[in-house]
Amino acid sequence: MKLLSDLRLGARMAFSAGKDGHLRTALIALGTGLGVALLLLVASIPTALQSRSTRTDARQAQWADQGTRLGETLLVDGFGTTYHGTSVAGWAIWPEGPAAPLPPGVEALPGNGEIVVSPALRDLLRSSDGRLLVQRLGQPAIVGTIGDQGLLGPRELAFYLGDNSITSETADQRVPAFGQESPAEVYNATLQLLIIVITVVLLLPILICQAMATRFGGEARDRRMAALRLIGADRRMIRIMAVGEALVGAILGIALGWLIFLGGRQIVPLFSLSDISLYPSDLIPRTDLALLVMVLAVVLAAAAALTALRGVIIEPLGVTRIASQPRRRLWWRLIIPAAGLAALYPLFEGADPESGPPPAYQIVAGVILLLAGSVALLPWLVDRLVQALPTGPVAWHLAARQLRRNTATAVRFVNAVVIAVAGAIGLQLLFVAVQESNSADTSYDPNWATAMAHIVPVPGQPGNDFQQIVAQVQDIPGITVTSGVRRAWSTGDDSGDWNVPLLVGECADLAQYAKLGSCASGEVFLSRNPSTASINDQVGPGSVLHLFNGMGPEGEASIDWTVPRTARTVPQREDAVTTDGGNLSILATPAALDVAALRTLPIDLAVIHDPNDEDSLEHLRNVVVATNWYHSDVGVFKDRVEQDQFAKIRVGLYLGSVLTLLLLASSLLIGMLEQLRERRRLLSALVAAGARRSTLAWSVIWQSLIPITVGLALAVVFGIVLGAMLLRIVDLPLSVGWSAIAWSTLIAVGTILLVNTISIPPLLRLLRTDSLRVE
Amino acid sequence: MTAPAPVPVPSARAILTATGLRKTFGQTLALDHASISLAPGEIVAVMGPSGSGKSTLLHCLAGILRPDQGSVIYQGQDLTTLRDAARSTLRRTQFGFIFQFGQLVPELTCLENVALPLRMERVPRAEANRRATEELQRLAVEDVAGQRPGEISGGQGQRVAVARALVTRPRVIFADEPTGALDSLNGELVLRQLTATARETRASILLVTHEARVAAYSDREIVVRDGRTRDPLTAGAAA
Amino acid sequence: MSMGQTFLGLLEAGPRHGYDLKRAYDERFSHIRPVHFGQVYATLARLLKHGLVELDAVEAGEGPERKRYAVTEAGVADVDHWLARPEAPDPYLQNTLYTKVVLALLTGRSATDLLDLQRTEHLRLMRELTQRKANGDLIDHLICDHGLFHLEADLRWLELTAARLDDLAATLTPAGGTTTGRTIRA
Repeated sequence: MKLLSDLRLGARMAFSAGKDGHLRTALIALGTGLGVALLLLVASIPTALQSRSTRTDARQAQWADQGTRLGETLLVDGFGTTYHGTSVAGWAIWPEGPAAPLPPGVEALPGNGEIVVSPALRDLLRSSDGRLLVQRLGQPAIVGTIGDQGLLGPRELAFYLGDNSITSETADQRVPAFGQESPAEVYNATLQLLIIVITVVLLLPILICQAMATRFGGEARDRRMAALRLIGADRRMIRIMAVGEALVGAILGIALGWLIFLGGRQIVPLFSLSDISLYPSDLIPRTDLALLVMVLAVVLAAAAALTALRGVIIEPLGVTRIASQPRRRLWWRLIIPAAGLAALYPLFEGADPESGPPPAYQIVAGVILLLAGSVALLPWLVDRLVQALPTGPVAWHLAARQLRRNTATAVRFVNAVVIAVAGAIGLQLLFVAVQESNSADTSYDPNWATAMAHIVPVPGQPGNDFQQIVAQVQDIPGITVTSGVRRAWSTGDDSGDWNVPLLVGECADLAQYAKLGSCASGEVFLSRNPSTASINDQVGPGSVLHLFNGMGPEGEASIDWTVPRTARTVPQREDAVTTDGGNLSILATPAALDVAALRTLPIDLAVIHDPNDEDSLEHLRNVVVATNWYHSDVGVFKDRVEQDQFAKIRVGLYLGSVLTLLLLASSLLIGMLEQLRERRRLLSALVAAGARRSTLAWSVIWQSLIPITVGLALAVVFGIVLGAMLLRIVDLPLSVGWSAIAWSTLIAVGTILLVNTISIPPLLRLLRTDSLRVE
Repeated sequence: MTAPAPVPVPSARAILTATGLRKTFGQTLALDHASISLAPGEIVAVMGPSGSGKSTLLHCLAGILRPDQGSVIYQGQDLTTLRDAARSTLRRTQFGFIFQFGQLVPELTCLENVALPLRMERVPRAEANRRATEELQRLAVEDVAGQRPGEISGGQGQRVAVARALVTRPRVIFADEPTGALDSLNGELVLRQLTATARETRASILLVTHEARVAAYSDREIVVRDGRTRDPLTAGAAA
Repeated sequence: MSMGQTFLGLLEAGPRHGYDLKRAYDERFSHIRPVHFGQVYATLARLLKHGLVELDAVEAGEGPERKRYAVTEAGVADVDHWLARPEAPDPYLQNTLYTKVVLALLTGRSATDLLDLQRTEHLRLMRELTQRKANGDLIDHLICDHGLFHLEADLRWLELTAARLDDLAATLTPAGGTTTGRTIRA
């Protein structure tokens, strides 16, 4: 076929184009490869979510019903806990008979005191880091591991603990079988938006880089095409050959992209984020999406090649450039980003819940238009700047002239950097804000408490006396108890329509909850939320209340109690955790009522833990679990581990920025050297005419620094706009993280300085008079 | 030892005839009422000082440029009315080109360069390579077949270019200062081989040159001055 | 001028009869300067007198006396000397052509036509030489190249003259001179 042979001829050129040509092909392939790998990853998200929900379903326990026969069930109690900031999924189980079902991934049920664990948990328990968790679980013997089909991810911490103390009365569930289809998870729309935006922001510079690489060696290629025109290739053949040449890069790129993707997939199990980890086999691009990605790569390469030919008429006699230097008008350059903002406007208004978020294509278009706007404005600004700037030394003068003559070329190499930096700033701002909101949004006073232990002692068990438990916690190194209260509930009638919490503690303990003013033993306070108007008017001094301990059928105890006439109403402390979120609670000193009559009461212990000793929290959890592992837990107000995760994401983003910029820098460098080579005659002629080499070197450097500086300024502006928009998506207030902006810009500046530094030696070599010889 | 007598060619016998060509580049008048006729197998030198319009005349005749006025008839077809694709086909199949330098594709080996016009005409690779090798042998440059144009001497490169121009057995060969970049010895070698092969295959050559020694390889010469052609015989008759 | 040295050079290959010498000379140089028998013997007699050649042998036979000449050491030295001495550069002013051109201009005739005609004539000769080169051996090559380069130099001068005709016309015709030329012609 004619078409095929022309394509093949073009491809042949790509392979035999010498050193420069190989570099160009390699860069196209690398750019395409990174893009393809990224898109394949995105294309795998649906499959990954699907397989995750399949795994969740498989583990879902079914409920017993009338049809369930006795002895064919497994008793299951949830025993989730947290260890060093990572959640651990766990169940205590005991079979009701030999025919009890096996949870997925479990080969044999553990006996009493035995445990079946996930591989990640097994490693943790065996390491010295897991010492306290082993203790918490009661030093169980590991008798097996949970297979992949029973886990949500390779890094998941999960276990099934054999416990013969579970009875059918106390157990959460009697499970006749595992595996239940849960309603399809409504996927977090915000997360979806973020994934889309991140993909666009990462992909754009890669695409631009690819398009840039397609233009490398443009002059040489144009000359070559002219030579082919001479011996009778018509315009169509030229285009086909150009496409054929670009396809080589694209196809190599697709292959490379798959390699990167498949290679990267293998290291995915090593990472977990927000307790989510993935199996390599979960990351399979959806077939149609994968095909689309590959077609897209090919089409884009072809389009880039054809665009590069546009504006150039290749005639048999040589190359004519359509040298129309249109006046740079401002208005249409402003329309582009304005259109982008318009497309994103619904997000700014905080998406109407009725209509849901705007469709994905609208967001993609908005982000692309917004970022493209920065690139559209760049040549106009550079033009203006060059004209407005005062004339300086010769080097400056030469650079300014050259820039005015050919702004397009000078700016083309900067475009990708601008978009990459703007995108990076936008994303960094988002993550800085998310990080801050996660750590600072808690209005808790860390001097009051950093963690809260809710302990529900088992009724009648020895050693669960309030004083004993407080003393035990107090003894944990790194833990200071700031307030210890017992909790009861009060209600006015038997309707059960309302109840008001009653906290029993000494004055010092109660003072953490409300501004008591003065306090003496025997006093009672009505603590109300000062910011809410409506309060329960059925409770006041003199009200007769029914108090109960809320411990369930076994430990049930209640008394009747009258609120003393002397009870004062005091404002709640806003920085304290009321734990009930209620507007009203009753604070009572132990002498004001007969606490013993209520028998066992749940305990709230506010503690401050040593942030440098992460084991202190684990010790606390161990104590709390030991009193009653089922109902007790520890809440941590300021979780440092959560912050670390966001810090990790940000470091990852910086790393991504550096990689993208390095990719861009390499193409920048090639472009610059190519420009130098093309201008070699002129430069050496100037040297011959006596121009100082340093003058010329500076002119070349200025020539690249001016557009870069303007570009970075634009990138900062557009990055902030993008960041503001992203923050609206996740509904966070705009806060400009200047350090993030500074870092992103610094990284870009560093990359560019690197390119300039590398290009100086060849420049000086070029400027040596002996390179003057005319070919 | 007598040279073929320069005979004016009746246009009926001509393979390529141009009449009344006019071509301007912006304000510059490059050709003005230029006419020329080429008989089959005839070698015609186009002479004249630089800037006289010699090369423009060649480009118009070869269908590379479209003249503003006038006609270029190749075997009954007016090139000035043909579309780009048709003119490209003519260049591919009927014409051969040798320029001063730079017409070889630097990315391809010499053999591939010579085989290129054949490959573009869908000649199978093996056959194209065989014919290209033959042509390289004829011009005594078969030893550089595997090298790229950048790796060989100017004289060798020009001979490879001649081989490429001849490999399709073109009817007309357009040579624009084919020896301009060569020293006398290499230039002579190239010209001798070019003209010998043309005579052998009865191809016509339009030889644009400002050097009399090069023009001496022709059968007759046409002088271009200020965009006008002067046939010395008719001019002489007029004087 | 240099015929003596040429003969001496030819004799360096070995003694020859006068007749052979003429044939050898004709083979190489006749197109430059044809030579008659009389000239050959006169030259040889002069060389003999100066001791540059000597008689190798005299053969008796029918017709003219057949003498064989051989070059002497002095003769070889003379050739050496001749080859080592540069020729006085010939100004070669194209006297005749120049006169023609100037005359054409003065009389208002077309100098361009004149030049074109001359070029055709030059090229005719150059084609002949080129042709001869194609069929000849190395010596022919050298000789023809010599002629070709000279002819080319003439032509270059012609081209340059053609290019300068306008300037030249202005120089040669004082104010009103052109009119004079035309008057003459009319």
